Amino acid sequence: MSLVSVYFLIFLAVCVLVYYLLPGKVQWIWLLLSSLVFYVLCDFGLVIIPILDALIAWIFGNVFGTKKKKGLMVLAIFLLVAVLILLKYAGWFGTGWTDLLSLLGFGRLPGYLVPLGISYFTIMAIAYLVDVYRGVVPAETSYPKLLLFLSFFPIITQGPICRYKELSEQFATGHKFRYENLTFGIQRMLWGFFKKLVISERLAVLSMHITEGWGTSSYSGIWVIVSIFALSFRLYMDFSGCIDIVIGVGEILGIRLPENFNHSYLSRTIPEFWRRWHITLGTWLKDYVMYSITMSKPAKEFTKRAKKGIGRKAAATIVTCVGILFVWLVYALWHDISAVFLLSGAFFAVIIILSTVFDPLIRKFRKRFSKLVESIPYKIFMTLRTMLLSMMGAYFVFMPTVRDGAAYLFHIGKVPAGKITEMVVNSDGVSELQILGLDLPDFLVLVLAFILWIVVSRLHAKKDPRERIAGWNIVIRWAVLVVFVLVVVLLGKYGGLDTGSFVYQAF
Amino acid sequence: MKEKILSLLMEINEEIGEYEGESMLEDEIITSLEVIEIVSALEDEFGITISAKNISKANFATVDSICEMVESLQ
Repeated sequence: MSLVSVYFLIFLAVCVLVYYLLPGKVQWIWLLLSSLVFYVLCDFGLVIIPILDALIAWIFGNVFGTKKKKGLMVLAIFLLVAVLILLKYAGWFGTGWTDLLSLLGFGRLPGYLVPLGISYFTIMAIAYLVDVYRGVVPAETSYPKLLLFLSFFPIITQGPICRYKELSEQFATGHKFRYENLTFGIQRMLWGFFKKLVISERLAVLSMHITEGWGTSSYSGIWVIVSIFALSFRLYMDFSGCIDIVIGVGEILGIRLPENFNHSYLSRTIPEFWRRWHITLGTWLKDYVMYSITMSKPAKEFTKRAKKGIGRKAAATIVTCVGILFVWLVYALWHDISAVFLLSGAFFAVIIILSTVFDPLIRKFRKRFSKLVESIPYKIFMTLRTMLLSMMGAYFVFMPTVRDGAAYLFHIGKVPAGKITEMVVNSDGVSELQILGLDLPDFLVLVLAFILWIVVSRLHAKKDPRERIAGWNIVIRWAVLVVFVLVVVLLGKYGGLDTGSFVYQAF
Repeated sequence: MKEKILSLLMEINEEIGEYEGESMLEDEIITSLEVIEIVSALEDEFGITISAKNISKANFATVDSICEMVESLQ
């Protein structure tokens, strides 16, 4: 069952209705039942995987509550990662392994077997165990409560990646129905549907010739540039749209989920971009990979010895760079074991290492030329530069191979770019947009939707537009809501591609 | 102790002395690299051990919160 389906809306309506009819103390049990039903409806037999992961986390968590042994911590993480690798990367182990899984009742084989949300609940379980081991949170004695944390239905599809502490406290306290939660949640969901159905699905058509590997012969080279932009914004609209839906569902249930995006494409540097894109993965990597490495005994020993010879700053820089390399290696492997992801990870790792190494010089430059740095043209230049760099990093992950990615890029130069007017209607009376699958009305809807997205994003930077709407007259408020529902329903693009799924769901 | 810590922090990053906000990590006053430098300097000066669990937004929010962390680890 997709989050973008009528079935999900019916499921959610039933879930919310019963949830608020129940006493606060037992609401979490209903959420657990709903989450398991949701999982079964999505991935019937594979519900056993989150149940198994929760069991591993529960057993080891309770052991760490009394006995903190590093060997057991390593074993627990090994078991969780082993389940992830054996299932998500099943194809790497040959047909024998996938055939065996098939015999055990796991469907969709031979090929790729990915239980819904396995990458997400695996790293949430690891974070929980590390937090218990570090003494940041107490071990959860109730297995069902831990299972709810790992299988909570809004976040199972593609995050955001939550911490045990922030969710368990909210599950424990009951939630009374609040009209504001319902309306704010619905509005946030609608905004997500708008980004997904009205914008992302149209951008998907524009970028399809790249993602579907059509080759480069049937269109002008300039379309490769347009497609790279379309691909990047599609990923943003698709992923952040899903997160809007998820956070909206959480708000309806009275549960506050962490934000995962913060106007990512307005960043002026790549490190800033990664603090504003997939925020919960970034903070997870920082807390559980970066600091685990840089604060480890070997790293501290190295810093202690090296600083006598090369100074503290240089020693700390080396340790930081090693930490960054590990962060981006885990980032790449978490997504997929493939050359394109390793290349993308290496690309961002090199940029962030260079930013770290040259940080003192960059700061001096900013101080020396503060007027220039604060000028609008410079800010625009830095924003566009960061946007292009982040797009290049993302572009390659959609390529079947690095060579294919390079071939498309070379196509920009090899084929003369068509006249701009031919994009709309060429000399044969056919629009190049149509060759790519997007007709003129769709293109105009895309442009208008994009403008609306920019306006709302600008407004959001100052004040949540929902708070403004809440202050309006009830008639105007509901009229706007109805019009927006109609916009999403009537202008949403359905069925052309895999509308029901999200790009990041595959990870 | 606060003066000693402040002088150590300013040796690493002068901006810390002028900072009047509520979260040095969130406001990007200190970087990941500087966190490692700060940890190394504090461990040497006060003979404490700062582990990964101590690296949090709350502990590195302000000079005062760093002082509180050092006190709690002594």
